[in-house]
Amino acid sequence: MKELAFFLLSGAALGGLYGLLALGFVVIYKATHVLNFAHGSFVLLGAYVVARFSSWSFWGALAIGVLVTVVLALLAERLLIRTMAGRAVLSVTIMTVGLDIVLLTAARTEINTQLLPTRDPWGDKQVVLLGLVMPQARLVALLVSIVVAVSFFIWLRYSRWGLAFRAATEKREAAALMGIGLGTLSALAWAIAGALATVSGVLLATYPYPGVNLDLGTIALAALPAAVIGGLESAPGAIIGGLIVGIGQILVQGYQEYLTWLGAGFHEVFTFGLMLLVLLVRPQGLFGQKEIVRA
Amino acid sequence: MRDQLRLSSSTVVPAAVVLILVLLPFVLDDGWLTVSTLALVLGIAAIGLSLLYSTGQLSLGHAFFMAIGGYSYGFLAAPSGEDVLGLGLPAPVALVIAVATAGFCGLLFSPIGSRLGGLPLAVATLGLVFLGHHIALNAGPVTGGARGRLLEPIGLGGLVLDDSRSLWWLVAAVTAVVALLAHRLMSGRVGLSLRALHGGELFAGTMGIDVRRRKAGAFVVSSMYAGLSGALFSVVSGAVVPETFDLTLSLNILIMIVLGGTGLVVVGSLVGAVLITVLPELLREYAGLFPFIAPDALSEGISPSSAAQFVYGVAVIAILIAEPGGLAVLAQRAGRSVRRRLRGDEHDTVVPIADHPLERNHT
Repeated sequence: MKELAFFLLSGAALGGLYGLLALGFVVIYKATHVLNFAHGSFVLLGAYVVARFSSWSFWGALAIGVLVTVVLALLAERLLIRTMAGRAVLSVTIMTVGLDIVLLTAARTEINTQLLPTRDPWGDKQVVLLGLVMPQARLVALLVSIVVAVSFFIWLRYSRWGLAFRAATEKREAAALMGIGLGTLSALAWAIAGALATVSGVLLATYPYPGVNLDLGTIALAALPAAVIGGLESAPGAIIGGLIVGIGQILVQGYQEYLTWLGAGFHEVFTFGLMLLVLLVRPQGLFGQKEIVRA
Repeated sequence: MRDQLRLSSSTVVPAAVVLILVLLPFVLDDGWLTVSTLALVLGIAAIGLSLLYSTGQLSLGHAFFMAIGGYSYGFLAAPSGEDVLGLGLPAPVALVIAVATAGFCGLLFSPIGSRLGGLPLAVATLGLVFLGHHIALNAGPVTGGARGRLLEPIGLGGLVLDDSRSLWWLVAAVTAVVALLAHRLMSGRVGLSLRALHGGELFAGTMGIDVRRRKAGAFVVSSMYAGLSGALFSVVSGAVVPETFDLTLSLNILIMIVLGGTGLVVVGSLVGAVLITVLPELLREYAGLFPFIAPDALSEGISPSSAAQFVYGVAVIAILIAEPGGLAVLAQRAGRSVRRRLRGDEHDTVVPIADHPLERNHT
C-alpha cells in the first residue's frame, strides 16, 4: 500500500514535468495550429544555458536561460514561421523539424558527451512527505507545474489576451475579423513556449536525473504523447495527459516484475503505447474538441 | 516543332536513365557504388512517404515500417541459427512476403491513421518508431535482439548476388519498377483523388471520393514501399540491427521528400534521397577542403555527418521559404524557361508559387 502511494506521488511529480513540457507544444498549437518539433531542442538549450551560468548564481542563470529561449523562440517565430504565413500548417511544421535538426546539431557539437550539473538549491536532498521519502527536486517540480498550470488557466480564463487566445483557437478567421492580432498572438505563444522550455528543461535535469546532457531533447519528445492524450488543443488536457503518462510510467516501472511479458524496459515506451490506445478510442484526445464537419 | 520536342524527350530521357543505371557500376568504385545503392533503397521509402504526403498526411513512422520489412525479410530468408529462428525461404519469396507484411501492418494501423488529420497522425506514427524499437530489442528469437541478425547474400536461382555491382543492378531494377508503378498510380484517377484530399477532405468528400478508404489505401501502399525499402536495406547492409530504424531515419526520409520536392512524387523523392545519402559521404571524402570539418574522430572539428545534418536542416528551412515544390520543381522550372528561351518565346508563363496545388492553406 505504501509502495503504491509512493509510486503515485513520484508518478505525479514526473507527470507534472511531462505536463509542463506538453504545455509547451499545446500553447503554440492552440495559437497557430503548428506543432513545434523544435521544442525539444529549446528545452535542451535552455537547460544547457542555465547549467553553464549556474556556478555564478542558480537564479541568475535561470533568468538568463529563460531570456535566451524566449528570444530564440521569438526570433524563430519572426524570421521563419512568419515568412510562411498563409501556407499549409504541414509545411510550417516540417520547417520546425528543420530548425530542430539545426539546433540539435549545434548542441551536439557544443555539449558532446558532457554531463553538466544544474547546481540547483535542492540538490540530492530527500524529504519525508506523508511518511514517504521523496527527492526534494521532484516535489519542487510538481509544485512548479501546479503553479504554472493554474496561473496559465487563470490568465487564459480572465485576461484579455487569454480571451483572444481562446477565440483564435475556436475560429481563426472570425477572431482576426474581431480585431485580434493573430501575429501578436503567435509571437506571444512562442514566447510562452520558450519560457516553459527552459523551466521544464532545468526541472527535468534535477535530481534524480544526473544533469544536463544531450538526452534531454529526446525526453522532451516523450511528452508529445501527453499532449496528444490530453488533446492537442487543450491546456488542461496537457497537464492531465502529463499526469496520466507520468503516473502510468512509474507504475509500469514499479510493477515491472508482473509485466515481464511486455519486455524489458517497457516503461520507456509505455507512453507511446498508451497514446495509440487513446487515439484508437478518441482520435481527438481526452479533452480535445471533435471537429464537426457537415458533408 | 513542339511535338517533335516532346516525342524526343519522352524516348530519350528513359533511354538515358536506363543507360546510366546499367553503366554506373563501371564508373564508380565499390564504396561509392554501395552509397548509390543505399540512396536508391532509401529513395523507395521516400517515394512511399511522398505518396502519403500528397494526400495531406504526414508520417514519421516510416522507420517502423522499414523495420517491419527488414526484420520480416530476415526472419523469412535466413535459416534458423543458434538463438534465432528463421524459415530459410528463397529470397524473392521472402521479399514479397516481407512487403506484404509491412502493408498488412499499415492496414492494422488504419483504424487510427485514417481518422487522424496530418499532425496528430505524425505524432501517432512517431510513437510507432519507439514501440518498434522496443519490439526489436525484446523479440529476440525473431529479431536477434540488440545484436540484430546477419543475412546471407541474396540468391536468385543459381546466381548469388554478393558483390556491390550485382546488388546495384538488382536494386536499380526494383527501384525502376516501383518508381514507374508510383508514377502510374499518381497520374491516374487514384492519384487525382489523392491530391484532392490534400486540397481539403471535406471538399474531396463532396466530390464523391471515399475519404477514409483512400487515406487508408494511401497509408497501406506507403507502408509497402517502406517495407520494400527496409528489406532491401537489410540485404545491402548484410544485417538487420535495431539502431538502423530510429527516428533519425524517419526524419531523414521526410527531409528527402521536402528537399527533392513533394510536388513531383517520384523524381522529387529520388533526387532528395540521392542528395541526403551522398552529402555526408562527400563531406567525409573532401573533409580536407573545409577547415571546420574533422576528417576523423580524433581531430578537432565537426564530424562530417554532423556537418551534413546541419546543412540539411538549413536547406529544409531555405527550400520551404523559397520554393515549396522542392529542388525538382526548381530544376523543372529552370529547364522549362531555358527551353522557352531556346524557342524564342518572350513570355514566361511559369505558375507562381501561391498557385501550387499542394500549398494552399486549409485551416
